[in-house]
Amino acid sequence: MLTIRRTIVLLLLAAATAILMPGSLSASPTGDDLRINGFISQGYMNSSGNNFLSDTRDGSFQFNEVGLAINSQVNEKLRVGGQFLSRDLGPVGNNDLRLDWGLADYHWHDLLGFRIGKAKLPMGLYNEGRDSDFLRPMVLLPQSIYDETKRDLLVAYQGGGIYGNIPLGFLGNMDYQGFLGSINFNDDSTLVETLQTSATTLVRNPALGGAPTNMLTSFSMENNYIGGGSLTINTKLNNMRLGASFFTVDNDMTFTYVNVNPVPPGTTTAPKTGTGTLRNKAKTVYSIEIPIGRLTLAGEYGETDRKQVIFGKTNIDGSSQEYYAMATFAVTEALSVSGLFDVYYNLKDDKNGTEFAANNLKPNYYAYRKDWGVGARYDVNPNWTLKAEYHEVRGGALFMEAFNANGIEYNWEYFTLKSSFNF
Amino acid sequence: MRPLMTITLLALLVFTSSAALAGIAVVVNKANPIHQLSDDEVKNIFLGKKTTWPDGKTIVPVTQEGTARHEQFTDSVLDKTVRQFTIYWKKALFTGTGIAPKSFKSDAEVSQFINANQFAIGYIDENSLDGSVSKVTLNK
Repeated sequence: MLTIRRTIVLLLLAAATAILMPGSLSASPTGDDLRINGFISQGYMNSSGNNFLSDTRDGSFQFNEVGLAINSQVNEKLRVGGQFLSRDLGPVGNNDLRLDWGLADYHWHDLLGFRIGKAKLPMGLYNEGRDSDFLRPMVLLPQSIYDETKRDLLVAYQGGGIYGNIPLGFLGNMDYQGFLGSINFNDDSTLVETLQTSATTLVRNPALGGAPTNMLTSFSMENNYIGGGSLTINTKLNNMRLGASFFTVDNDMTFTYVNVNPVPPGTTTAPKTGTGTLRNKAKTVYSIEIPIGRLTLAGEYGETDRKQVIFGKTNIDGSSQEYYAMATFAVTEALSVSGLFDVYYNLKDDKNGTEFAANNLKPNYYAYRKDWGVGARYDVNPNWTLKAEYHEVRGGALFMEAFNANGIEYNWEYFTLKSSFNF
Repeated sequence: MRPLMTITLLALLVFTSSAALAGIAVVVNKANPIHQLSDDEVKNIFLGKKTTWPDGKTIVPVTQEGTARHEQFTDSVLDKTVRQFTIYWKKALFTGTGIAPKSFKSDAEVSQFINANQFAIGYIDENSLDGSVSKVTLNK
């Protein structure tokens, strides 16, 4: 509650600043003032069959974002800025106020600039803008590539980066970025909670030297490094964009557990320590966006080669496969409709989940997810956006078990409504 | 043969961009030695991809959001709708990758700003050219 109040106070301060400082919302690029912008959005999600990211079978309004961005051009080369973000998506976020990004950007030349601080991670067409609902045609980004449950791995890095734009003659021009740094895992991370659940299961497995009466007493996940880059070719062919992005990330898990078998009654064994690793050796995404008049076609293909070892057991070792195709038609300047086909395979060499089912004693459809979605976006004015969409899904991959403790149904649906205001 | 011609014509219709910039003048400060720019250079300036003049000075682009000139300019020079242009710069603002150009409400305000700023560039109605700023010729 306190964090929500702090967010509201920040927004009120921003609004007051905007009112008291005429022109502050249209700062000069010469650096003679400050730019303050913000957004607030509220959504509703409802599903049948399974819960999705929240307790959505009962309908959930725990789906909002509030952001305040401050940008200042200090001088011709140096820009500084940051964005505070408060968000809630089911059990994640709970409207705690967090620094979304905050950086110093030195634009030495169009060919080469430097960024230091916390920056949005460049991946695919939409990752950098994933927290700003009004920047994209549909409410939720395609989950195959932009998996919301692995947000901590994807949203931002702390460290340094380079960027620039290279003219390519008749081909157009190319934006590039490279970065190296680290990431933070929040306490309410779905990824961390899922790994903690896996660790609990494994320390209770006698085949691995565990005992059914073992209980986890602590769990932490530390990132060692994250590094990668992206290339985007902005062609002259009707503004068509082609992109490729890559990153690698390495994380260690440490947990402690005790045996609560009461021998003698009321005692536990001394805590023991267990370890694990989660390495995304390579996540690659290839992107294409083709505007054709009022129609925009977008598609991305990705693979994530990762290895996850917990308590000496290799849970995952191989590449996932992720792809989607999305078409957006602008009926008018204010109204657009979109269609999406989004596919995720936990292992690209085990698409129907046969191997997964044998190894994990779970249904094979837990290993993949296919999502057909349709949606509409209406911009009431340049500052206010309304969206609605409906999805039919087959399969239960992407950490669906975290929200469906009693099992996952194969066929399920969800719909969502969202309203966003930005200034 | 007919399908091939149809496909060729459709491809031309789809991928031929840039309607003529009729009635709109791209303008710079009178002290600016630049008198010609290519379509691509102007596009890159207003999308923040070209930020310096040949002498290394920082370019200061200015727009006229909410006017008919703005709609014509974004459509014919930037190959974007007004909404696409707005979202392009909002994305930059909210992701820490850039700051949108300053925007004015009228030709007079744009001319006045460019007249006072040696490194500025903007666009106005050709009928509003009053000698206070220089018109730049656009080349393909």
